[in-house]
Amino acid sequence: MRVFGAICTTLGGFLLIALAVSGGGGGLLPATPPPIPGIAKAFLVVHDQANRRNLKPDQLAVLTSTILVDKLNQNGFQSRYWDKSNVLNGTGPIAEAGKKVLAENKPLPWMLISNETAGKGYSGPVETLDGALKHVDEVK
Amino acid sequence: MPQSFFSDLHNRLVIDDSNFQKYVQPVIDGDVRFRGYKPRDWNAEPYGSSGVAVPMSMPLIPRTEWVERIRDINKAKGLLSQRRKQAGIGPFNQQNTNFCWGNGVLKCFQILRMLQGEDFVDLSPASICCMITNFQNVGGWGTQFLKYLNLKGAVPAQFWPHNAINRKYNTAETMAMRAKFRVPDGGWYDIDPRQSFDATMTLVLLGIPVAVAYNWWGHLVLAEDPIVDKDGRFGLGELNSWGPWGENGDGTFVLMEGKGTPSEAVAPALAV
Repeated sequence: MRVFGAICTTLGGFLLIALAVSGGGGGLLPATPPPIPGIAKAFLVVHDQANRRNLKPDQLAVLTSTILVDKLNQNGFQSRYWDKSNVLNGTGPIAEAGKKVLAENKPLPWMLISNETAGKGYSGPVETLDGALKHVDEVK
Repeated sequence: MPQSFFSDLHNRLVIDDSNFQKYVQPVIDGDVRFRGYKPRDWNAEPYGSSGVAVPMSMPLIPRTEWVERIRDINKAKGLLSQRRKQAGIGPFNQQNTNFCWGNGVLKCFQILRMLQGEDFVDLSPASICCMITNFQNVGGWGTQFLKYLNLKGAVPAQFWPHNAINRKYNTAETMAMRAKFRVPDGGWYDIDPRQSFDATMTLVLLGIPVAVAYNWWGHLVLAEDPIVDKDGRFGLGELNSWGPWGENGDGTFVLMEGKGTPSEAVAPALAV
């Protein structure tokens, strides 16, 4: 019985890890704490405008789609799509969150979705429009 | 082989080799239409020499990728014209000024600000054109405008109306406001005129607006959408500065390649 319990615990642990890893969609753990403290709902994509040519069309869609902007507006998110220079020259909670992304050398474009009211958030790479929409749904 | 995808032109006016002559007349559909683009003096201001607009360094997107990319952008509803309309930004109306060269570049700047999520501030083309022309209602070209936008900046239209050619607006107060609405050194691309259509198409495929000028038209407007028609011809969806003009009354139209190949083009390379 004890052996059975240990197996269940181990399998359960693996299952939780697997769920957490896949839950990000981008292969990373969702950031549980809101990554942009100080604003009720905020969304930030940090990108490198000079490197835009090297983005995949799927990534570019996240930066250009009106579908995502509509969803963010409908759910009351303050949204910013900032080149790294905007982040470095900016002030306020969104810029500070972006500076942290740059300080941690995250691969750009990088996305932060923050819902301080609900205590939820996401921090991960920009990959696809469908992925971004899904993350907004999770955090909204 | 049939065309795999073609753009929905959304009833926009299409200008090409077959009908362009109608639009170079001073009176179009019963209304006098001002333009004002003075062909750039490439000897006085060679390609990439302005300091604010540097040669475009990024590789061009090959034509073989264009149709697929245009299809992807349409699928994501990611045309710049859609983003602009979503943000409630319409065309300028230059009325009886010869300041198209300011209207087009400044609209490009406004759209860049919008794309970054900045609050919309209505800016005045005349607040810059007047400083360049010494308050004369005469033409100019894109990098002339851009250089002043870099040097001093623009004034909000609330304090200097869009088309006001009047020294009374040039005060110490409005001069101080300009610093908030400047572009950085080297912050724009100067497009090589020898490959201006492919470069402009590359930029709009990446969601970057381009101020485009046409010597044949004596006009500078804004390119925002990549277009492919049912015959596989490429074009640019553009925004005019004639207020509610065009088939849809929203200032938009399509220029097909050939007539749509810019004589001069500048586009934002960096953020503001």
